[in-house]
Amino acid sequence: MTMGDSNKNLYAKMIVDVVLGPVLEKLEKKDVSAAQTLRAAFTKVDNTLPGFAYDYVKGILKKAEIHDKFDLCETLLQLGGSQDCEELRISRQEPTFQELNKCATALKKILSRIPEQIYDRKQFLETIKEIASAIKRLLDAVNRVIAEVPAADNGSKQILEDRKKEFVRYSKKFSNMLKEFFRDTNQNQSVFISANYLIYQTNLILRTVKQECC
Amino acid sequence: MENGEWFNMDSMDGMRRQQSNYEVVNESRNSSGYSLQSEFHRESDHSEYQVQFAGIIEDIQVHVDITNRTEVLRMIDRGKMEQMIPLKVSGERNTILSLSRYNIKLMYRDHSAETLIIRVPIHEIAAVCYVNDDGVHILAVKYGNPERCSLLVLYCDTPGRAERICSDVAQCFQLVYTDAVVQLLEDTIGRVENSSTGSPTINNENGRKYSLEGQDNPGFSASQLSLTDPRNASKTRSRSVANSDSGQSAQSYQAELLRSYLEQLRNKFSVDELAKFSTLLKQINEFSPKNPMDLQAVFKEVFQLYGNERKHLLAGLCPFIYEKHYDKFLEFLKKQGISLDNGTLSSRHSFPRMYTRSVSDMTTDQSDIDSVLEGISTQLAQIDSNIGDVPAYLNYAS
Repeated sequence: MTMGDSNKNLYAKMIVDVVLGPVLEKLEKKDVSAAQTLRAAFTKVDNTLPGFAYDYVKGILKKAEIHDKFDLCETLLQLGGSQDCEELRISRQEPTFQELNKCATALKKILSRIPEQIYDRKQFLETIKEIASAIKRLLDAVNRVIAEVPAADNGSKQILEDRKKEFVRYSKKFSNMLKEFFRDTNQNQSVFISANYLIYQTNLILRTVKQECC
Repeated sequence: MENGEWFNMDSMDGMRRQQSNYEVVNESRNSSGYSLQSEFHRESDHSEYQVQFAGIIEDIQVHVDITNRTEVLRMIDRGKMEQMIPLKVSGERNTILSLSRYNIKLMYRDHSAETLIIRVPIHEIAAVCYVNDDGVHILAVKYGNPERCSLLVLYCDTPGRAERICSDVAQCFQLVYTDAVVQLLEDTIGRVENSSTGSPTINNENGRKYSLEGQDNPGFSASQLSLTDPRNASKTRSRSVANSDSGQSAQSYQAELLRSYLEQLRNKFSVDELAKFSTLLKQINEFSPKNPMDLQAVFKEVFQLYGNERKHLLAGLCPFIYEKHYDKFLEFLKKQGISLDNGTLSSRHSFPRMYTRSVSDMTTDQSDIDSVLEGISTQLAQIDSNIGDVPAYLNYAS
């Protein structure tokens, strides 16, 4: 199957968040300067050449001769819920912001369980119910954060609202992919991709809140 | 059956199904015994089985467990004594059970003519049970609503056929449940999307905003499906999901209706009045009056709250009144000369009355609507206490 450009870009961004990010965080404990330089370099290159992080990691996996031993989309989805780095955590201690952290982590964790549960119909349906609940809680938390933004700061409010709308858009896509999957169970890859998009969108919300409010 | 294998096609007398479709299903069966690709997932899919129609036993109590063999036989014996079903079924007429993801249909088929005996929507079926009573293969289908259930009694020629019907009905239950879960996700996304453009809010005199949205509730409350392993397919219990053919869950419609009505009230009522409204509505719906006149007293209070200028809004309350008080409420409205939409005593927008729970809704969990009302009540009470004693404040301020 040939990967579309949009999927490759998604994988690249996920790789930055859930593979490179945590690794660089560990490196920071040993050599802060090296870690920060590498982080900046990856970000810069990936912005200039979208998808670079994907090619980079694929190259490493090929060198290690394990690139065909697992499904990257599934693996990124599983990592998406288990890996969290400082870059994606909101530092403000007020309950509203910490609640957002919690809700985002919870949603990502539930989404990351999809690959292991998708083939067990009963369990998967329970997971979908949990996802519905987690999406609602996340967006309620975002609404509360938006309410905390000073009234004068309309620009930030609008940016957060736009980010939220984007998230809702990808939530609908995810729901549509589920419908397709239940009609044709060979569509599991589409479910994984749309779940990955949802994790990525969750991380984008966190990044945007950090940028606008912290 | 015990080892979870499919039945041999040769034993399926009277079954009409495409061979290729059956084989696809067989290969795709996963380890938990459920077919990943249902035979009934397309709208046009259906299966037919030859059965004998014994009869329908009415007035079955809702709590009766028909997966209990003794209970089933007891009910059938009662049915025979009360002549609801014959002592023996002749089997002269060719009876066909047709099963699709939407309903089971029982009909007589003579040459090219079909006569419908009964059609039962899948979401009205509480449970299906197979009992082997000394070589008589009985299939019992319990269906109905919270007030009344009935038992459809069929006989099958072979145990294989009876077990196959149970297994296929379980597949249909699974499809209905799957559709409802996906719909739940869509409805949740729809709700949160709408909340971004402004949920119904009210301002108290301190200028703070309170949302009238209910507390966190995924909206999929009591209806649960217990899907049995086909290895025990002789007992298939289901709780139906309130899912209309239009595809949207009844509970989400109800929640939307309530929000829409509250939006109307918000524009016409003060904060105090809204708080009182919430309290009175809860009183009506939790009411277990020793004296029926007490319920009338609550109705009068509601009427006084609305007053002459707003009494036309009372008709809109109809969908949110509990079934058991509905008739009394309608009578009260009639006495006050309040006309209803379309001149009928039905809900707004032709939507079924609230709280008409299906036979499946047999737990004590709060429904989505109950939680919305609870949330409103709590939030309005909070506003009330936040506003405090306004006259005292005014005295202090001056």
